Amino acid sequence: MKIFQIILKEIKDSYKGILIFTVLLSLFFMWFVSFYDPELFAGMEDILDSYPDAIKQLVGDFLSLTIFSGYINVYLFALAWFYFGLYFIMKTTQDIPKEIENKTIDLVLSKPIKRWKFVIGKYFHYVFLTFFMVICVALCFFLGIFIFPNVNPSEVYFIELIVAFIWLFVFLVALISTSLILSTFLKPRRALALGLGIVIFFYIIGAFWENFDESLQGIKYTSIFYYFETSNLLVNQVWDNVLRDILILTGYSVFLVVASILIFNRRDIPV
Amino acid sequence: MNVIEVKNLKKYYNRGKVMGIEDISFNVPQGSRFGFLGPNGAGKTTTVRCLLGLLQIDAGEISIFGDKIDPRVDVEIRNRIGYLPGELGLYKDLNAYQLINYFARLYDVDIDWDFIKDVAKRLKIDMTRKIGELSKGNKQKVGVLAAIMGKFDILIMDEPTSGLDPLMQSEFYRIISERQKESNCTVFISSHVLPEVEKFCDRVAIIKEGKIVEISDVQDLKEKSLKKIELDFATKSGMKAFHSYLTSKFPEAVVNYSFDDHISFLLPPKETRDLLKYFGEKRWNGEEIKDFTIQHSSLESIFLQYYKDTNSKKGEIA
Repeated sequence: MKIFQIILKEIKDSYKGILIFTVLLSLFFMWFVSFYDPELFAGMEDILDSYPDAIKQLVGDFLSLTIFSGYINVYLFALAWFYFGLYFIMKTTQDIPKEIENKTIDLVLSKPIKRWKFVIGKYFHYVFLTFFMVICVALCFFLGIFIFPNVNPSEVYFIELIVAFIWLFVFLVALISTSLILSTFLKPRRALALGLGIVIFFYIIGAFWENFDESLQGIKYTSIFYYFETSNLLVNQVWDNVLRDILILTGYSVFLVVASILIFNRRDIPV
Repeated sequence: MNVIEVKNLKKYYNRGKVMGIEDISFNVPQGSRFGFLGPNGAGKTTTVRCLLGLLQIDAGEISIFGDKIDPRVDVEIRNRIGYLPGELGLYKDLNAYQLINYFARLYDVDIDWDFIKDVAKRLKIDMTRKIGELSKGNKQKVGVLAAIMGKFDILIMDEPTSGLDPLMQSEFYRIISERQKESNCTVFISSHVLPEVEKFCDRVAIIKEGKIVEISDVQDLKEKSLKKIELDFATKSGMKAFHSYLTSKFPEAVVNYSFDDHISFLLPPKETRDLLKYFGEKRWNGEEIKDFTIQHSSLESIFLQYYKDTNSKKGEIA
């Protein structure tokens, strides 16, 4: 119940900002749906094909801008960490350190609440908000498919898209978990800087690992971006490794949350 | 029964490099008003934060209500503790009502809303205004309200009247006294405001450089401390003769000042009693003492003496 109270309080505190951000992102996704044009994007695909592999890898291994799912993969899912992720990295890395800096944590942790409940409450508030945001954006996105005449719903692979949104949610939770662990032992600015640094580092590894020396390519397994590669699913409807990657990302999050709790349980709350 | 027992508490910061507290031991009896005194950096707040589990102790034992606890793990005990931190941080976007309501839900015990409303009225707290819009004093009132919101057995308060005007300070102590009468709760106050502590507390501990240097009932402390004696003579020569006698016969005496026919000095209790024997019979340059006053030292002067003189021992304090 106390976890629920923490979640509820945090949601009350941040619902306005989240609502505005969700509306903007939903409109943004709808807008992308509205200007899908296979003929126009066929030309763009040719241009993109002429780019070096390293650039192409930024937007996934399988490019196909002439089909709707391929187009969505390149412009939305490949960059989803940027659209959604940065917001949550900024919020999560700052949250607990700000409570310590502003001394608000003193009164909370002097109440009969275990520290793990406080951390879990904070964490699930972000998980819930991410879920809410992904659901809203997905609904508007699917609505756009039926509203805008440029998209033929019969050519859309709905199941794959739904799974891609679930995958996106799991991936975003992994980003939040990465930020959470930093927030349990660092000051606000350091946590933010390191959080952004780690995510960008992960992104570079996840996007460019194929260009690394063969002996270094094993580093790809350390990046969560390696486990969020929707292009094969959306472009080719190939389900290989989808469940595996979702489970790995989930395991990664669980591991980091447990580690966050252990760190936070041991740390001092300074004056 | 002691509600708080602290034995050999030790806390270092920065991986053992910076001392927070070193070997702190004290007991707080049930129903007492315990003052915890010390200047900034002495270790008061560190001790309080160790008691509440905000800091992990390096060594020592803490017992609450007779049970040895690990304050970080045994959080249920905090259902019986109200806490007001020295540096108060409140959620600025909430109003006082929302804040108290939120905290109330973090307790496992029922909160008496009638009492909260009554205290809010007495402290003149606007429960509907956002905390971010309140003045420092009004924020402090909200903090006080949060600390006494339940029928707690222990109230731990760090600089509770900081930022409160004199009227509100009096009202605060009245509320705490009433609360204590009702429930026999124990009040632990950490403070710099010594006249307040002197007036309110019945027992004090003085902490210096992370160690307890004195624990005593306030009255005992004052009685065993140096007495402030002021004497008037008929002439300056009488006073001078007494001055010479005092410094030769009572080397422990500390003369504050002397001018004309007046002298002011400090003397330990035993020597004061010895000196009093001569007051009626002895003459100094043929003169007897015209007038005299003897006062207990104030808690403030006792406290200051500990911090002035690093070699002070019990009984040699003023």
